[in-house]
This record gives sequence, structure tokens and C-alpha cells, in this order.
Amino acid sequence: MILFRRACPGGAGPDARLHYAFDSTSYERIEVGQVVAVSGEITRRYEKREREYIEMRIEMRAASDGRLLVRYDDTCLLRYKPGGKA
Amino acid sequence: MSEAERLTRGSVLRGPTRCMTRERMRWYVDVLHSLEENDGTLHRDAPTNIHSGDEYARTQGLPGVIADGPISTNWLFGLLVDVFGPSALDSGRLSTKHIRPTLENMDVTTCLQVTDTEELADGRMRYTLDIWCEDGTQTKLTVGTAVVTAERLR
Repeated sequence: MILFRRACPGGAGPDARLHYAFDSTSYERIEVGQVVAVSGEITRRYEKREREYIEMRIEMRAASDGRLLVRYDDTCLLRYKPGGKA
Repeated sequence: MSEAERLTRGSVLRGPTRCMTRERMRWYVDVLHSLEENDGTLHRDAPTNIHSGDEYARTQGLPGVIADGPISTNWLFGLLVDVFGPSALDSGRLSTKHIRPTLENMDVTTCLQVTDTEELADGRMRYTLDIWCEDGTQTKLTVGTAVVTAERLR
């Protein structure tokens, strides 16, 4: 949500956003109580067939030593309806 | 023999069927908001998005609210843990695409098909899978792939 707010400061607009694709790679099990640090960035924003897409990468690391635990790439349509921009 | 050990290349396994109720859709909406607030309480938004508000969903050309795609992805992840055990959480990959909307009260079944198996040097097995969610007519709603490494139980 923080990434979305930064990428689309005007809000979602009149047309709905939609999760389209999800890709996650796990590197090790995360135990209950483990302290983790999460970071994220918008990696790509583009138009395809009159729809605007946004891709983001989120990483979860062990707070103790920065070990990568999970990498998560997410693709969303910024507008479910074709045409226009978010 | 465990369920995972019975799986060979080409094997298809259908997991539990769940009804995508309005409550299940709403739980996910509220969880996202509550996680962001992070104050230990449940937060509920006004029903203003396609996962919580019928009126708004209809303005988007939908018949009513639809499920957030990650719900189906999470159910597929659950299928991997049910079949391959906790080692499915250790390392691996899960990719999904939500290709059709999941509507209210649709019956959703999680499925997998083994496309490849490999015995690793440490004795564990690596499974490459096609995974999907289908409705009651076996129409695919979510499709994807997964790679899971599982302990041998013998």
C-alpha cells in the first residue's frame, strides 16, 4: 500500500486496480517470532493494450544479518477498464 | 507412503474445494488494511473497491464483488504445504496469474500436476508443478507453476 501511494499519489482513481500476477521465491523458512525487515520498489510501469500496469519487487530479509528470506514480484493493473492513466 | 511420494510425472492431484464466500473476500480486504495500520486491531474500510463493494464493482463491468487474486494464490500455497509438508516453506518458487475473476459463492478447487521430478544429491526430491484453481466446471481461474523441494520420508 505504501508503494502504491507513492507511485499513484492521486489515489486509485475511478477505475479499479487488479492483481494480475504473482511470483515469489522462498530461500528459507521463516520462524514464528523471527524479526524481519521488508523493503520494496516499483520496478516497472508500462502500458499494454490500453491498460496501465505496475510491477513491484518486495524483499523480506532477516533483520539480524540481512539474509534474503523471500523475494516477491507482483504485477497489478492500475486500471481494470482500458484507456486512461492512474 | 506419503501423498507426495505417490506423485510421479504427470500425476494430477485435486485439493479441497472451498466456496469463495463474501466473508472470505472481506477478510482479505480487512487484513491488508489492518496490517498496514499495525496497531493490533481489525480495521474495516468502507465497501468502495471491487473486493468489498458491489455497487463499485458493477461500475467496473463486473457482476458484483470479486475475490482478490492473492486469496487463490494463498490457497495454492496451502495445497503445496498440505501435500509436501513444511519443507514446502523452506525454499522454492510459486508463480501465478489470475486469468478470470473469482465471483462470490463460486466453488474453487486447488489443483496441481507434476511436470518433472528430480532426486537431489542430499536425497530430497524436487518437484516442478503446474498449479491452478478451477471453478465447478473445471474452468481455470488462476494458473501458474511451482517448484518444491521435499524431504524423503522413507
